[in-house]
Amino acid sequence: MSTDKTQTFTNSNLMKITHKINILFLYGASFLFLHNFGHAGTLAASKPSSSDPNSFSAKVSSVISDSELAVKVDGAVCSFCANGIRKGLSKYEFVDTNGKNKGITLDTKNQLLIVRLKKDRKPNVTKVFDSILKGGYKPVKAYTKGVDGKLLEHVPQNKK
Amino acid sequence: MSLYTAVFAGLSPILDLHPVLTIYFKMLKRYILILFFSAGVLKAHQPVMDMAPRWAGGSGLQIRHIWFGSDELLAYEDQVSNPLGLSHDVNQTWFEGVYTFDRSFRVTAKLPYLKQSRLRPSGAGTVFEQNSGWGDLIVGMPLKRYTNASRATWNLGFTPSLRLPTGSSAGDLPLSDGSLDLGLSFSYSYEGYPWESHPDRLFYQLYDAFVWINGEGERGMREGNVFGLDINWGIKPIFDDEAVTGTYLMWDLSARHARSSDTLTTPLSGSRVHTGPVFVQYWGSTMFRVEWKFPVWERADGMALSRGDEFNIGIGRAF
Repeated sequence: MSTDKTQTFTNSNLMKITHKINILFLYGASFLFLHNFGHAGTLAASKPSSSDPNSFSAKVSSVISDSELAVKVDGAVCSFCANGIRKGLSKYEFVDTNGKNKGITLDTKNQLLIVRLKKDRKPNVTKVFDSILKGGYKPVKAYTKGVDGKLLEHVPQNKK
Repeated sequence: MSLYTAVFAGLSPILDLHPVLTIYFKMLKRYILILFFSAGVLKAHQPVMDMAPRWAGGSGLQIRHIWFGSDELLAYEDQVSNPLGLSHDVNQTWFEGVYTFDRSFRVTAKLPYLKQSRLRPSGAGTVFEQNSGWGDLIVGMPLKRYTNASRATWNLGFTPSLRLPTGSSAGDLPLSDGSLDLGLSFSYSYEGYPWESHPDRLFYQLYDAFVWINGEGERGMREGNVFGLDINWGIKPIFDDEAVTGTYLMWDLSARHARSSDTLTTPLSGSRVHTGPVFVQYWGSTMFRVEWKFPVWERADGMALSRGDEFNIGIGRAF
């Protein structure tokens, strides 16, 4: 008798818990759907357009100097988690690691990585892309300035 | 004569003299045998603070201290009188490490140092018991699938873990049940800027559903399987990219359900929901986390002490 009661209680208890967990999952799933849906609109709006002075490219052009390289990095929203990018890039000879943050700054609001370059050193953009991938993120496009001050765009060959 | 028999031989006269207390002490029979294994308090979280390192060749170390304890006695969901002043107090210091081969594949190891005590009924009175030492080593293999988008990053994780019986199963208040246990965790974590109306407000969320399938231990001990769900929601109101510092303010919700064991030796079963605030601060590669969780709902399968409030403080560093 006692065992039956305990079993009944356990089953009833388990059902209640399962029900509560289901509700939590439903709330979670709804939330995930909403934030992903909202996110798609943000993504489309942030695509750079060279003809628009308010475009991402134009913003980058106004931010970087001739001795800097900028990379739009998808997912780089936390400077702590992006320490691996800093670690990987700082070993390259073309990166000027003197000064703050070893010459590598991440703007997490715009997911823009800015790398300070050594004077007269040409950056190896492929290596930069590789470091970002190994750091766990996705490089979208790199920007440098040409001798005429014009913004040059570099696209990864093998996007992951 | 077993401990169980010995204790109830002492309690019998009281039960005879005070019929009103009969139910109370019958329920205490279960409490007396409750053991405090690390499994019952295990979090599925992984170093470093569930966040780093995601870079290939990265590693991390962290140390966390967890304290919980209570003298509130529960009979199923209800708090009942505790005239004997029964209590328990558990301190765990976790030493944890992680190595990241690739962002999708890591190996983790977590070893607790336990210090626990309790005041349990014995005869007509009580007896104080305590034990300390290394607990069970947990080795995990988090597998993660990342997605990096324009304003967010998220990952789905699957983590199989093994709990090795490195802790001592000796004594009346053992540190381990001596069993080899299997843990499976499914997680989702997201960090990004989801709100177009607040484009600068970063949001963090973590969902971790896990189960521990517990094996047969020594001395006939066997814990029931444990099911858990952890949820973290938070924002990062303060951060400075130049200085590589930031503050997360989060809210944690933890639910656990421990099933009854097959044997009568370890009635560590019941369900509970704890919740509370979490504060996380990072400087460069170092992250500090402190949290306080309080019970919002607990149900013991019989009579047991409440888990009580839980405090968790930790610091980790990624390399």
